[in-house]
Amino acid sequence: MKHPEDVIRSAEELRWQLPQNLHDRIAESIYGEAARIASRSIRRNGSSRRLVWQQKLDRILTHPWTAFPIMVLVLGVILWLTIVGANVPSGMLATLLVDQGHALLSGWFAAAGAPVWLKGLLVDGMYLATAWVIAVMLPPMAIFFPCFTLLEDFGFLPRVAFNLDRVFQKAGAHGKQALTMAMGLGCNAAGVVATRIIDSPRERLIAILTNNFSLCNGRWPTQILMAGVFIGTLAPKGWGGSIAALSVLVVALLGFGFALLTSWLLARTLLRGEATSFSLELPPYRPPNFWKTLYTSLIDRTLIVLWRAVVFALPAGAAIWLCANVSIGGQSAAAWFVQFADPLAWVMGLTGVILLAYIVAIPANEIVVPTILMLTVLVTGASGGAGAGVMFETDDESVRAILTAGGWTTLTAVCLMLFSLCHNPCSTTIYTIYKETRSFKWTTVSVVMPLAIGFVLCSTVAAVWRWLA
Amino acid sequence: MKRFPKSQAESSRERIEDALKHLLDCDESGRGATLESLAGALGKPRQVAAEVLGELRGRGLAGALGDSHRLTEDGRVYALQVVRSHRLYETWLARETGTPADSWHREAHKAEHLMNPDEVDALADLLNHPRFDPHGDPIPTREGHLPKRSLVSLASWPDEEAGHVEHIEDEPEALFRRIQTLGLAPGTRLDGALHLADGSVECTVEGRRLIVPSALASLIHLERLDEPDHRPEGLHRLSDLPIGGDAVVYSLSPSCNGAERRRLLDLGVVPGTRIHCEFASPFGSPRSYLIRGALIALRNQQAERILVHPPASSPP
Repeated sequence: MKHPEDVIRSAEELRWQLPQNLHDRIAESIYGEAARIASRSIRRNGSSRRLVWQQKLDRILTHPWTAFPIMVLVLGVILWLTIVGANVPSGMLATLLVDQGHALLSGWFAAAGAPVWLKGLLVDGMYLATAWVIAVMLPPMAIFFPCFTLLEDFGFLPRVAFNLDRVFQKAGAHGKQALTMAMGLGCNAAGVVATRIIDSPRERLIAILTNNFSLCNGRWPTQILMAGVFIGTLAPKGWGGSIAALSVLVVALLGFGFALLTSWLLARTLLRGEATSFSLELPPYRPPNFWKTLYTSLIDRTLIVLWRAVVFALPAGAAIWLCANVSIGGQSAAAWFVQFADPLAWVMGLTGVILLAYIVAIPANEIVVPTILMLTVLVTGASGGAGAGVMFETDDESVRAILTAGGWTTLTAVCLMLFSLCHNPCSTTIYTIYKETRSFKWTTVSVVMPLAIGFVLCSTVAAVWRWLA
Repeated sequence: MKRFPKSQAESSRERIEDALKHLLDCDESGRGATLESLAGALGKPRQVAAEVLGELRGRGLAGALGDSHRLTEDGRVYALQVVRSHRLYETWLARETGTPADSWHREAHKAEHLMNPDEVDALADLLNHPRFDPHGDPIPTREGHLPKRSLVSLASWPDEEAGHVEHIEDEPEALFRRIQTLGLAPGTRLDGALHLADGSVECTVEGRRLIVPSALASLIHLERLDEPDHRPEGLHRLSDLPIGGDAVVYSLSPSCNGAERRRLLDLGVVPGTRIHCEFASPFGSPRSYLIRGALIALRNQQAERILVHPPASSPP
């Protein structure tokens, strides 16, 4: 009988004589055997060939000449549907919640004999901000998210990722980033969560850090209003709407360009590495289940995003009211800040009011426009408002009148559109980024990087504009 | 000294361990380590090398034998553990992280001095006790067992002889990177070597003729095939399959490892699987392949790592 030590020693020696890739070979043959067993015991109906119409559709959707026009067209149509379709329900909600709801609550507070400051803080501040967020956000999201989910179900979005992968690969990123960016068009926080579909940590981090360049739902209203009020009016009569829509599309595509550029920079500096494995299933096209899609996207995406926005809008409303109504040395806190920020804002082609609005609106981008209007009225003393610290919105003509009174030009509108694209993510997204990366450092990068780009971009545009004018 | 106790201790540990590795290297190759060779390996002046040697002798890790310095038994055990940490860490980087191959050595060189024995054993457990690191170097066992191997470099490999790449030198980094881009990795089969006049070697690797420059050929070490195998005719890479073409998977290239390999196996890219190339994206890469009834998009640089052969007969 052999000694145990001898057995161990000879095992030790034999171990080294096995081929180097033994494990790979074993794994490979296990997979191969499983496949053989499966093919022996599974009977398939019909052929495994793909249907002819699917092949034809694929050829069109991935053809060098047709792929990109179709992609831009589909994006354009969805945006148009969202913008146009949201107008009516948004108006109805605004009438219901802002006009009637606000009046009703004010009446109650007055009847109960509540102090003015309490009514101001709760009704004019918190309630009104929240009502605005719901009125502005709910309809577009209820249209955008289901459209997006329908395209996903139909099988179109994976083809988009397929078509764009080469571009992302050149930038050192992952093709699936195209999907997360498309998701970001609805909501950046949702886009950041969606990056979980990317396996490689490095490429996932790139997707997280650049998602903010997808213009989210909360920023569309700003873009649309600026485009409609300032840029659309430059166009000849009858073309205003199209030119406005086109300028919004240009900003959205610019965001795509920035996302690629920053991905490329990150992949060459902070997140150096090779593009790793990429495999993407292109599912067969199938008619989406319309009602089910509508239901799940409303519950899973729209309501969750809306709820979060409401939670953040409540304190923001209070902050807006306070900074407009707490006066220091005979001037409101808002006015002090606006004076202080004006020089910096001038360099960027903006106004101090806009910068203050962006600080107040960190919780939710939706309230930027109402905040700007309210603050402009407060600072310039123009008429049309409903009182200090009260957010309101009127039709395009009066908006234009108020803003022009506040010293706005077309340059301000253009710079605001650019700054709206390139600034820090909203607090919800920042928090989501922190939760997903678990890193203070990367969260900081995600905040500072777009701000820096926004500053440089706006300043350059403003400088060139003034030089040309 | 008092102000930076940790970094002082760390840098002294690093120097000692690097010196031990150098002595081990010299012992293995049979040439003796000298003060000059140690100073060169550490990249420090002779005086520093002498100090380090003094400390090694003081701790009973090394002894002098005439002009040269050798490891004692304790020194050898210690040195092997450092090598073990280094190679395990490299394996971990290659398998579990997306770290680029040319950074493996540098990263592992930092990490090897920071791990304690328990952490090294835990790493070995995590990786299922690998025997070889991603460069093909054997990883010493916990007991300090390290086999001796006699490998032949590609530079002196006989013409027309088939072999497997067993080991690739990871330094200098720039040259290693070039070998990587050629698609060579431990395990890669190499056929029909032909020495050219300028010292470079032409050979067939995974269905393609390659020319390995002479600077690289000496860094690649091969071993003869231990068993004759039957490679099918017309072996080529999936990326060379024309659109609309059919092929059957022969194997995955050894250069395809870690998450990428697992993912391909999960998709059913296993020997014997039939693949049909459907269409390409507008830029030519990725392309879509019909694999087991699913349409899968793969980048060309991935499809390059799948070896296929033409289907033997027309489909049933």
